[in-house]
Amino acid sequence: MTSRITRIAAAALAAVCMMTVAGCEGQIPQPAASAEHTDKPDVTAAQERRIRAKILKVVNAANGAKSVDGLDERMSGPELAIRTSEITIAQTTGALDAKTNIPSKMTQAVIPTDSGWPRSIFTITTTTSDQQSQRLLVMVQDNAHSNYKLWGVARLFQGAKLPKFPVTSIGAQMGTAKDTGLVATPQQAVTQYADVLQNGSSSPYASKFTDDYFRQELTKLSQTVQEGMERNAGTQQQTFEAVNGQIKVMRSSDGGDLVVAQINSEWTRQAGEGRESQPASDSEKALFGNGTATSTMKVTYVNVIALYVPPAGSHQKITAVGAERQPVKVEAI
Amino acid sequence: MTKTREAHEDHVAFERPSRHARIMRGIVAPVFGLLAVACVAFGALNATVWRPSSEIAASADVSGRYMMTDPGVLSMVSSRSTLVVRDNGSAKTRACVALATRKDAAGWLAGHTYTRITGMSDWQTLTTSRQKASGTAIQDDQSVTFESSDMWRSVTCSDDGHVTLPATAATSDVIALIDTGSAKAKSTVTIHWVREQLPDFATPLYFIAGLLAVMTVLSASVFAMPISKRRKGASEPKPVEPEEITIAEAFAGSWRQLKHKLAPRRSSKPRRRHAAGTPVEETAASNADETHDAGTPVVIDPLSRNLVADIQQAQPAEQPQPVGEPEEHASPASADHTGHDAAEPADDAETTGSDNPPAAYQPRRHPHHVRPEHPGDHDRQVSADAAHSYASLNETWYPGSAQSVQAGAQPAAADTPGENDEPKQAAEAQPQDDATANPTSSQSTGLRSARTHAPAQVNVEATSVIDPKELQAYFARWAAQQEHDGADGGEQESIKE
Repeated sequence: MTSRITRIAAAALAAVCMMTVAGCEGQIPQPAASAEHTDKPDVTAAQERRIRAKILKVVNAANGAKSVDGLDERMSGPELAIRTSEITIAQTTGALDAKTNIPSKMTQAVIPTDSGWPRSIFTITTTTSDQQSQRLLVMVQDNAHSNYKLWGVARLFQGAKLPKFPVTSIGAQMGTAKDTGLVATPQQAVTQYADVLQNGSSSPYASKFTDDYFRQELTKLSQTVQEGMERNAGTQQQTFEAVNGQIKVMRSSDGGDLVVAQINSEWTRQAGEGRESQPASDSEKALFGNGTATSTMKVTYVNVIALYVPPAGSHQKITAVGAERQPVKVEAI
Repeated sequence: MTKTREAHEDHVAFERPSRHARIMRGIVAPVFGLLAVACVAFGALNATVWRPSSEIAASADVSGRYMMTDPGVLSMVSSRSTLVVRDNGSAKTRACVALATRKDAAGWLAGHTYTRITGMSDWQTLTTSRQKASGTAIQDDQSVTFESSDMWRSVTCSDDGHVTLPATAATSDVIALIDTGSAKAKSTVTIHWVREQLPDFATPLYFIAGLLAVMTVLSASVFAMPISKRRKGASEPKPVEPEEITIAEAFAGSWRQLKHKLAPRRSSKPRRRHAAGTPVEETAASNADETHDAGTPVVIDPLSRNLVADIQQAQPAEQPQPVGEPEEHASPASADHTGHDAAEPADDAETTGSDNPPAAYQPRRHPHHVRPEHPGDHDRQVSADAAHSYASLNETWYPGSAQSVQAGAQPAAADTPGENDEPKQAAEAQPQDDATANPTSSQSTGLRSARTHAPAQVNVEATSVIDPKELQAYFARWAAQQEHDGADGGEQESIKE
């Protein structure tokens, strides 16, 4: 009887001790109820730096090798076409154009907080070592299983004023081509700007856009070519067309949109009777190569333009803040 | 008889405590004591052997290609954690662990089945659940490799299936995504935390032990007492608190004692100058007390006495006696009424006589108290009385020290016949005994007054010790003078006759 009581007491004491030991570590924690994570930036600043470095690594490798192989790993959209053309020209000329330089340092990164794909990151670099203007880089991730690729590069105009964006720790919001609340939707703005580029001041949308460096240079070039063609009894025609779907929009803090889009243009030059139309520049020559010239030559350009579309009611005009233009194809018709 | 029974009952109660006391002291107090000891022991164990471990490791066995922790799992114990994936299968594949946001991981896992790590069931076990992510899976040939994705904040891969990824400063929105590389893989996922703040169980136990110790003491003492003894009953009279002495009372008492000590004494006997109005019986009783407690000052609070009533009580005893009527009191009590010597001029009438010895050598007589009609007269009479008390001796031995003469003392001296004879005696004795003396009547009168009221002004040389030879010479002269006066008187009487 006594031994039974002793065993029961020992068991009870052991149970109490085990319970005490078990409780010594404290209460088992539970995962904290996390807030909504969709409003967090898609990437951190460090990630953006790593992504940009990876892209530039591939680009610089291609530039150094003057080979377009592997460019599609980190390039897409209009920039892939432009860089391919540049490298092709460099293969002929022996050197890349200075405008192909992309600074590795950035001054501002605009990182969205959107959850879906494709995602875009807008990064503004510093000026180049030879004091060229800043570059606006557009890096796009098409889906979760792909990486960010350099979709577009636009050289910013001197004195151009970009809208303000939230800092990287807060994150911005991506826009769409059909954003409303603006003086025009992004897609409309791009289309109208293409018309202005084609028709100049005679375009019905010319009053909606402020004058910019890109339009001025195109006008000068067109006038120069026009004078030469008139001396040879030739004609010229240049058409601009916005590429459908090749548009990236980032909403700024002041309610406007920063739109980067691709506008393809075709420049057709027809010489006078009995004459041949020759490439107009070294780039066209490089692209044309050993082709047989005819009386008509069509040069295809890829234009990347950056537009700031102000919000409606702001009494502001749509402003082009940067652009890039590169012939990608020269053919004799 | 009743007291005897009560004493007996108290004795019985002392020997056999009540049942309440036995329970409190025999059961409750030991229980509290044991609990206190137990709390101390458990507190010590929790501070040493059972101290919570700072390192926590929880694991779970999982299968499949992808595992993902829920938001907050990595940081639920500490912000610093380490995730370890160990392949338990035979087929070693390249396994990777990445830290990412939930939306990036969800995008990567779209269309795939994965294992959720939802938390801990205990301190050593992770809880898991298996589910399929929404969305459309992307073919592997169109996808970048897991470790080369731009979405991961950090990623670690290993070919042997053993991956360790430290997660420092992990927030609740960071999750871990594990890719074992094969849908048939079997792995063990372990998360290690290092706790920065350990729970302290020892201090509360020590505190409880202290409370239990206090309860033990109280149970054995206060709580074991009968309720009737815990607090004093209302029927019992409250002890009279001593009346608080005010500052004025304390000052008055101290001043009275100082004044009593500093005041010049005319005799070696203590006198009660301020016993006016005290009944004779009380005075006698107080004197008896004084005799019993010799040297102990009696503090009389004047504020607690009705002086008007005392005066009224004292007056009927004084009224039958006419003012200034000489009356001697043989009782010791009346001998202390020396503060009311204003009636001494009347007494001097009895003492004046040429055949009387000097006043200093006569038995002192104490006149009855006579209240003066005017305060000024009272002072004057006091001065005269005091001067008369030292008349003969002062006139003889302190002649030249009377520097300050009070006019108030002169009329009393002039009215006294005996006083007129003493200067003559001094004038005759002066040339023989003391060459420095100046025995004039006015000076001797002033000297008496000065001795009475201002002893500090007496010449130090004059108050020096009397030489016994001089004293013998004085008595010799005095005897010769008496004989001479007696002879002259006999001749005069014979002539008259």
